[in-house]
Amino acid sequence: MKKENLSYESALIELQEIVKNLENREVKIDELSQTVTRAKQLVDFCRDKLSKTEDEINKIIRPNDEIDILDA
Amino acid sequence: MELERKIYSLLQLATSLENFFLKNFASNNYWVTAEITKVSQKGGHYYFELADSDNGELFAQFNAYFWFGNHKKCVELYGSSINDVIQTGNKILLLVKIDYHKIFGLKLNILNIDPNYSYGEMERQKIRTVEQLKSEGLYYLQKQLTFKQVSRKIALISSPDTSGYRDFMVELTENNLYTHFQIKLFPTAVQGIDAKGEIIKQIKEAQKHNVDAIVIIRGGGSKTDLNVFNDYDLCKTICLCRIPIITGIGHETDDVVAAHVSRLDCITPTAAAKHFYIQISSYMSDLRSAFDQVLKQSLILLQAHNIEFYDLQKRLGFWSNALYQNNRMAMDELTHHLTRLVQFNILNKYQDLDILLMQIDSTSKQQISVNQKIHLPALVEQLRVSSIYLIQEQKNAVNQLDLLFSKLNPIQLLNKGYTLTQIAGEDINHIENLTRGDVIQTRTSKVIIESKIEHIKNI
Repeated sequence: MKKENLSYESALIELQEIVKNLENREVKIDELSQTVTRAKQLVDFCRDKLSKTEDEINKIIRPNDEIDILDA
Repeated sequence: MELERKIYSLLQLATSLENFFLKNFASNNYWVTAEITKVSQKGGHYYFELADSDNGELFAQFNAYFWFGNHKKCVELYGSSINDVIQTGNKILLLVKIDYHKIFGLKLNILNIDPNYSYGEMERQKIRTVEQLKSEGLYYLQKQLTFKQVSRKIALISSPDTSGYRDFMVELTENNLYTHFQIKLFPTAVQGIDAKGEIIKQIKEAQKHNVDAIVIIRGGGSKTDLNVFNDYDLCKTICLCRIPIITGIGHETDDVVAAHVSRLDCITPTAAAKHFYIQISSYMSDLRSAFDQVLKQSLILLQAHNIEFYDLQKRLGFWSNALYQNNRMAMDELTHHLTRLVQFNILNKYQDLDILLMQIDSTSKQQISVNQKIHLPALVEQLRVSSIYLIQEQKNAVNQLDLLFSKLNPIQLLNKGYTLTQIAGEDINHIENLTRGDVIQTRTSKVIIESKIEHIKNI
């Protein structure tokens, strides 16, 4: 997948659109492979984004971490 | 039987009467008392109407004449005062001859008049007036009234055309002592028949005004002229007057009841005027004298107070200084004590402040510690959990989409042997009217087949 300035929100919206078109059988035969590939890419992007965000949060906030304001 | 009628002429009757009077009365003269009810003078002769009456009831009346010759003899005998007696209202003693004239009728011819009888009669009237006023308790009423200290408003009962009035006014307004009087004139006749009624009326009228005193002025005159001031009614009016009355009637020698019953009798109008300005002048003099006395006493008092004050001032200076010295030591001690007390108090306040500061420090740290150890970790944890929960929610959503996508994935369906058929890019199931010859496009897992519809069969 080529690099693009994609946000999680727009990826999710695009993925929901593809699923909806597939349900309605509104995908043209010629574009079928391309659409499926795009959907797969989007699922991966979203999972990756969520996974990374979770890791970052866990890095920032360690469970039961003590913050000493007076020493900060 | 009818008596034979004897007829006389009026002349015969008059002649007969004349003879009768001549025979019986011509040689005799009579001393008679009578009251003059009317008198007139013509050509030196006097013509009288005489009467005898009591309290207005007439008992006898005669006309009389006093020939010039007889009058002249009388004046020679008694002086001109006889004319004073020949006044309406006077009682007189006269020597008469009874005279009858065929035309003028019966009259009294006055030969002589004795004025002493009239004077005696006036005196008797005076005495009667005095006795009656005394018996009625009126005589001394005016004497009980008091003069104001200064009498400036004067009611003047007088005849403005008389010398008495002029004397009074000149004396009152042209003296050197005091002239600022307010004079209200009540004009009246002071002799004659109307005098009594007018004077009484004006005394009553004057009482209605705001005046300090009433003055009754009458210049000199004969006894009979002044006799109206012996009248009972007039004197009674004076007695009952509520304002002090001052009289100035006649001359020094005249003596009338009105003057006795008034509040103050001045012998003449001039003397009455003098009384007013001398009274005021005397009052002013008293005031001046009193003022001088007050001034003198004030000066004496002032001097005495000055000495006392000077003495007090000296003593005050000495004792103040002594007191000051005494108190100064006490004050120094107190000041020292006060300073120490203040310092001690300030020290205490410093200590209190330190304690307070420590308390604030301790409480603040405690508060921070609580926040640090309990509240903040709890908040951080809540933040973390909320974030993870959010991510988990999103993961679930993506998984669900992925699952749905897997089920719908046409590639996988083609791989399982299904095909996908479209006419002009539209799903064949969506086209309602299929016709022979339509070109259809069928996709398998490996190829795309294009074919024409030959036959359509509904199932």
